[in-house]
Amino acid sequence: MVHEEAEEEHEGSPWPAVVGLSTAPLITGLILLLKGINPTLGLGLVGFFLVIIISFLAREIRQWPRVIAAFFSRLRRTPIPAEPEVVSGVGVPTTIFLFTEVALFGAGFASFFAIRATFAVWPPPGAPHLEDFIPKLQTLMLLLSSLAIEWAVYSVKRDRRGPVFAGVVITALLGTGFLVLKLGFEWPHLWEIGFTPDAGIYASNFYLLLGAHGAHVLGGVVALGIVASRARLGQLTSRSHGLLESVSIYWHFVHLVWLLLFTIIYEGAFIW
Amino acid sequence: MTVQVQRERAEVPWYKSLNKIITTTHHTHIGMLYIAFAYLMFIVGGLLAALMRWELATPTGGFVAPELYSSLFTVHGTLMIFFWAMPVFAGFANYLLPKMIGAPDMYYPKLNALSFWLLPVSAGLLLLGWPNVGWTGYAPLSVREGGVGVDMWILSLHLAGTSSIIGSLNFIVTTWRLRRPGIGMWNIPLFVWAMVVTAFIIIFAVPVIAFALTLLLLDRNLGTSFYLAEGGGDPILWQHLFWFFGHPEVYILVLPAMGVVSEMIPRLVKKPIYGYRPIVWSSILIAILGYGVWAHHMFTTGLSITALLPFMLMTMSVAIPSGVKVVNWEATIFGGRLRFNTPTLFTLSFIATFIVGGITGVFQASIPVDYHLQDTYWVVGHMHFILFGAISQAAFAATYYYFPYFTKRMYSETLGKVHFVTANIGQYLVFMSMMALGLMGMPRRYYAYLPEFQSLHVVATAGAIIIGIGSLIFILNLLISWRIGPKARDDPWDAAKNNMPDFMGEYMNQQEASRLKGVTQPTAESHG
Repeated sequence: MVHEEAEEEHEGSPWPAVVGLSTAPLITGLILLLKGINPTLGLGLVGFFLVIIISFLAREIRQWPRVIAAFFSRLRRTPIPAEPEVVSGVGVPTTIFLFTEVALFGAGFASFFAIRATFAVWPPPGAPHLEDFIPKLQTLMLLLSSLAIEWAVYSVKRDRRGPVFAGVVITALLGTGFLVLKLGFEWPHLWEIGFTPDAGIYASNFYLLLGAHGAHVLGGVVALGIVASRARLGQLTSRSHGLLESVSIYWHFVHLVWLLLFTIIYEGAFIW
Repeated sequence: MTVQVQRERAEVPWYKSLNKIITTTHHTHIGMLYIAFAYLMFIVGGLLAALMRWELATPTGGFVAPELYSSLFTVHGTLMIFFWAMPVFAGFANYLLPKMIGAPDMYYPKLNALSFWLLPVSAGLLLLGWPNVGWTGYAPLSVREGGVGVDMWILSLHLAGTSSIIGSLNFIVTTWRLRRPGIGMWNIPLFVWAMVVTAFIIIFAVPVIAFALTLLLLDRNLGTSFYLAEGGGDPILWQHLFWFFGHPEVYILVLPAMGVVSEMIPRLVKKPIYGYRPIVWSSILIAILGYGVWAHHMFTTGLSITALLPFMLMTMSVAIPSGVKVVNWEATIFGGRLRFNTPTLFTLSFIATFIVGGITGVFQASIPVDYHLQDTYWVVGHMHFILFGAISQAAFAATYYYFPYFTKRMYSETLGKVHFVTANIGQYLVFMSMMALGLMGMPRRYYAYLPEFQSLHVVATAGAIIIGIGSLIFILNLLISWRIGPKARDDPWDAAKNNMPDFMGEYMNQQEASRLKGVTQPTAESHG
């Protein structure tokens, strides 16, 4: 009986339970931090969770080829067609992940406009004028990074190893530069003039939307780092580069969100 | 054949070893863990409800403190929705979906296990946090409430949401990639269709509640004012975001129930399902319409009538695809050979209660009627008819129906029928009384009330006790039968014999395997 056989050969792992249950210290730590009860212990607990998840991911990435091979060897004994020979393009999982992102930022923009609609004048009186020099520079950086990652995708289809690695690294560096500009130059300045998240709804919205976007840029940089390491190991070929294309479409999505934020928050603040 | 394999291998079953429970990534194990967890939460949530009903038996209160009463209905609501109704169907989906499409496992086995292991933590956070702001957590109350309870509630829902997003991703990708040849778009089992549609609803709805909860967390802890009018925010924004998730959530709960009923009815009455495609299309239509109805929870918030009218019409039109399903089930039953075993009885009571709960929803969708019924016990009665009467009873039916597959043993039919009778008599006593109370003007969430409402409240409490006794019998039936029940047959409902095997994909796999092996091995049917 198929079911009994499958049960015998399936290989368990304690990691899902470990990661799942270690969210308990994570949440405890977050609450200790947020409520200021014991920030040191809080940070420690959050750090503990990070250690667990990083060691899990590191182990998983190392074992990736073996795990996938084991899964497909199970599949090959069934009539289900195994993975196609060429792994490329944006797959169903990435598409679904992007759906959740669209829903998240959709909710963000909708809330922004719902609150914006209750004001006759926007920005509300008293809000500082936002300088748009750094955001313009950031727009340029993301534009260049989108081109760089497309260059990497173009090159991987032609098996040019060097340009693939270079393209991914340039993209990651531009993303890092974007974050440095935001966290190192723009926000400290705003913070100094008293434009903090609790300084009224205009500031709250500003930090919420840009913070959410910045977190996604950070996630993209981490993903690009993984792609770069795999590119260096020569794991990305014209026959197998689904990961690169998935990360590239995510990067374009983050770029698109930035263009909307740039338009709405910096350039069009008075119009919309 | 199962019996034979078990006799040959006298090893310890996986659920008797803690090590295996923690390390397993197999979809059948994860599915059973999900279902067991959900039933544990069902008992906890039921005890909370029992305390509430005991409190409401007298008009003056005094059995529990008012703050405790608020916590009781908050935790009961959140627990039953996120840790009973969602996990129990996620469990059935884990067990059934790969078998139905002929897959060896889910596409991401480890993520699947992770999505289960997030749930105990998140349920624990909810119970330890013990919030008291209502399961809807309306701002500004939820912003102002001190302590860490609401923060734990927020983070608990974040975790539960993460778990359901991971699960949905897994269901969609598994169905997309791991279908065996011969299971095409228009002959995959209806439960699989229902789970895929549900997964898509989750994918679009849960990020919105995650966003809303994050804003609430920031408002509570970092001094922002998204939901506080004095800081320039908008308390109604919370309601918009919450119900943009909250109403699709109802369909997240009911579509798997409908799917599993669409699987069971044809096999129980030995007659193919009537109208496969209309059932599929009505699921998709319900999912789409479900996103356009959220403001019907907000008719009394002062939004303009022009803005609310489309929501009223959309809400009423949800009755159409729901009605299509009911007609299809009834047409399937019509002329079939009804067997009055427990799953059949619960399936029939699912349809009946679904009609009661659904029609009362259509009344309520009308704006002028809602002005009178908003925040009364009518609403409580209506939603419990759907959540207990329909969704939970579909879960009971499915538990009885698939019990022989889970445990290889049969449950006690007599105790099952006692459970059916108590659950149905009890639910009409409780929820009909609630509806009558609501029409008389009894507001919800009150722990003390005017003396003239007492008689109906006593009837409701009696009904709750009956449901409670029935549920205890049910749980005992499952546990005892698991140990000492009679061995189940391989094809307990004669489904394969009637050419509708319970697990279509797995059955096709077996047929093909036995064809390939030729005559040297006995086929699966020879033992049936």
